[in-house]
Amino acid sequence: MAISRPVCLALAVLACAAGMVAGWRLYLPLGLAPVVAVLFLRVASQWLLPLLGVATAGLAVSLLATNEGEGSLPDEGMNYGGCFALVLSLGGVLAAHRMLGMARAAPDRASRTLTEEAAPGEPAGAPLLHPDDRLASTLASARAFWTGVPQVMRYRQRQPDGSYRWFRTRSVPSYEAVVEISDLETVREEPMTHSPTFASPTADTVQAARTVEDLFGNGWAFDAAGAWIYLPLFAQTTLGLTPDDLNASLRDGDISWKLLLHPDEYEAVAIRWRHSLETGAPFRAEFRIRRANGVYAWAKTAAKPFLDTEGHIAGWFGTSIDIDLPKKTEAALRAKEFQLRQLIEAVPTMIWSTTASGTPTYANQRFIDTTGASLADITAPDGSASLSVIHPEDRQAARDAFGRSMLQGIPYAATYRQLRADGSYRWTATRAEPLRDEAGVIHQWYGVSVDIHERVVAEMSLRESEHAHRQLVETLPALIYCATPEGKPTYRSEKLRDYLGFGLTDKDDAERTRLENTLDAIIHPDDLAAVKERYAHALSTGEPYQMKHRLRRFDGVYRWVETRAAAMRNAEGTIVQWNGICLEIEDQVRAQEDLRLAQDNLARASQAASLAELSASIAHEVNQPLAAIVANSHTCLRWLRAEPPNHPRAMITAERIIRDSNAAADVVSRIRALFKQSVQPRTSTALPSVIGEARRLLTEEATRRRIRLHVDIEDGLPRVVFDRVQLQQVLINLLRNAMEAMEAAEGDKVVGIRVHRAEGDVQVRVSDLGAGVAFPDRIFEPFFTTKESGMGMGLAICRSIVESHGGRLWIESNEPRGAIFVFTLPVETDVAA
Amino acid sequence: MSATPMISIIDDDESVRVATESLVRSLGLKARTFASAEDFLQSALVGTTSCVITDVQMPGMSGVELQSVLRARGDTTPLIFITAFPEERIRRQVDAGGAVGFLAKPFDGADMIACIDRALGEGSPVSLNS
Repeated sequence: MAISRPVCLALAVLACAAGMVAGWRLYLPLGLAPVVAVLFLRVASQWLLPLLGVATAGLAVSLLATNEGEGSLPDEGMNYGGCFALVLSLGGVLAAHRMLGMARAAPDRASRTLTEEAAPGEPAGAPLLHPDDRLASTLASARAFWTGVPQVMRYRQRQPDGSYRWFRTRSVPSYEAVVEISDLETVREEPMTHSPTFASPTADTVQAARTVEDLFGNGWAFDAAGAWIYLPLFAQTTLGLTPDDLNASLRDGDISWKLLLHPDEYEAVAIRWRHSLETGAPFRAEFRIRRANGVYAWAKTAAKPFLDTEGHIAGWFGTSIDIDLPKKTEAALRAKEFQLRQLIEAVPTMIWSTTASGTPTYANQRFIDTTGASLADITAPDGSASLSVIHPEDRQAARDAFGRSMLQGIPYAATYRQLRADGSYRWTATRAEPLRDEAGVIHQWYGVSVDIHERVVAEMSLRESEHAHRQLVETLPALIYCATPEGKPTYRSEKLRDYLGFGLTDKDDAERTRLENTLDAIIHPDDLAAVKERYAHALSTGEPYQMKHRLRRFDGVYRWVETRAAAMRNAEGTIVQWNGICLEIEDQVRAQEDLRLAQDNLARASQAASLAELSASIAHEVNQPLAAIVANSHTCLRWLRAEPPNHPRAMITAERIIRDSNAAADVVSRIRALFKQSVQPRTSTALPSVIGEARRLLTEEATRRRIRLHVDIEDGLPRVVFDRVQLQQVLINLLRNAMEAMEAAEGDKVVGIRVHRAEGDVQVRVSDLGAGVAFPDRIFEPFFTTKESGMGMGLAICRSIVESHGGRLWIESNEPRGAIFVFTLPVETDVAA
Repeated sequence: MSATPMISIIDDDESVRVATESLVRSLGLKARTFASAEDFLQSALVGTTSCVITDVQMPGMSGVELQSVLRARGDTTPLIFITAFPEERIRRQVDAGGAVGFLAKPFDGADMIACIDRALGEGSPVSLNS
């Protein structure tokens, strides 16, 4: 039943008016007093109400006494009417005020019911409440109202079927608050049989416990000694223990909590509990409580002492709140967070984060420990990253890079020297990536910094060592180069680059290899073919390369150099690189050439001298008998012409002529024998080895004459029988002729030696690129020569040697120019046959 | 008095020596042969012989040296040189020494007779006989 404030006021005024009418003119002031009191109450504390009520009553009584004392006695009816008016007005005040308070409550069914039942002004208006509970309920409501202390009421309410069920409500008297209904359902489940426990609360402690229990759902009470005196039934059911069960522990000297507590926590709780019991200090603790099913659940427990009127502890009331789930959740979360933190701290990297704008937000412990800088240290006053841990020389670059990353949202990577707690700097690699939301907006930057000092230092020392090696190579007074296993140039020392006047890749084109281009550009055309051939040989076999040739200098001048290259191999023996060195030998070559020329001249001179001596000797030896023969012939003629002819004398002289002619023939034989020095027996030697010897003997001369010797020997040649020395004379003669034939020739100077099988012979062809032979028919005649310094005997001798071996010697024309001298040697036939 | 001139022939080669002696004798002249210049110088013919025919190259003293020795002694015996090595240098040298002839071996018989004629002077029977 909702009663509005105006209605209350109206009732109050009505009551007052009734009082005034009853008290008539004499009691008019008395009738107005309650009205004033009610109005005052609207603003004053409710605690003043009883005082005002008493004061009003006192005022009325005193007024009555005054009237009687003045003699102007009113009649008996007057006095009784006054008293009645007083009571009526008091009742009006109470009713109005009560209704004012109740009217603010929520229009709840229960509260309406309660209000109905509790309204003191309606004695017969509580038909739903059990008759036994009406008074207590009304009192509780009034107490709540008058004292302001929240009141919990239990009462039995009649059900539609006529039975009663227990209900419980809590009233909080506040002008702004409401009456809360708590745990109605739970209470409704409680069977009627338990009602006696609550029906007659015996101690204020229990009452307090119940109050707490009503507030939090789990109240309990102890006496001053710490023995359980109240434990809610629900709790007893949950715990599987009664207060008596629990109190049994006291007999063993333990606290009454013992059976509830986890053994691990008992001691700690016991100490605190005893401390509270002794000192009255509030007891607060979180511990695990054993439930009836044996499971421990976390509870938060608080207890306060309840003091009696003299200030002694009369008992304890308290409550427990189940915090098992939050506790366990919290523990799990904490464990997880701990794990994550452990992870972040355990990884051997410095981890940090910043906001999207670069303000540092986190640095892990390792970062702080390593750098000695806290989060505050790395944050600038304006909120940006101070980068104070970065070496001053590297800081700007890092700042620029990070700024660029933040601006463009690209990952940040930087390597710099980073401060260490001991003040040193160490090389550190840092990377950071942005964390974006679904819309792609950057929220955080997460970064890691890794100490890479050792690696960087190692790299630096490696670079230094490389630099030193390079310096070594560059400063060596030689031209140095490297090439791939295939010969492609990969490195040239500065001196070589300067010498050539172009860089490694300057001659590259798509058409041909770098090696070819390079060789064509730097090798003298006359030496090019030989160099290429030798180089290809070295590359294909892995044998060291060595060659003297002319190298084109940057100014176009060709200078003699000696190039040597060797293969560098790995542990498996595979060629990984060719290293070459090129030394200028121009002066050396010139000196050698001069020396050779001098030697050659000397040799020719001595040869000429010995020839002159020889020819003189021959002339002398031959001329002596010839002189005798001629003289004798004249003498003979004279004897025959004489008159008469002197035949005996002529005959003697003719005999002398015969004798001297034989002597002359003997001389010639002796000379032939003299020239035929070779006494070695003919052997069947491998022809290639003899050719190789001849080639070696003439290599120096060929080099001096800038002539290349090209030897091409067919494989598997049959053996031939020859006099080694004589054959060598033939070869050297022919080769030297060929070289001399190209003395004045232009272009490529090549002497070719080709050995191959031709029918039953082995054919040796010595070709040149000279001017060719003008008189091929006469060239093998003795004393025929086209040379100023020749005797004209060479080819004649060659032919006679070859023919003495059963072979032939002839000449052919070479294409496009020059001559080819060809000789054959018969293949050795089976000796045994 | 014996009008037959004596010709001295010096050559280390016996065949040439003998052949030349035969040729000289065939001219109707007397001849003596020596194997070396030293042998001739030690003989009694030095200073008396009408003419000397000598080889140039010989073991020991050469023909040229012989000429020098004789000229140094004031001996003006005419000398005819024969040589297997007819060098111009030697020819000039012996000409300077007053040689009557310088013939290369093998020499022509007529050339030798002409030289002997010159050495023996005009009216020589040799030239008459030839």
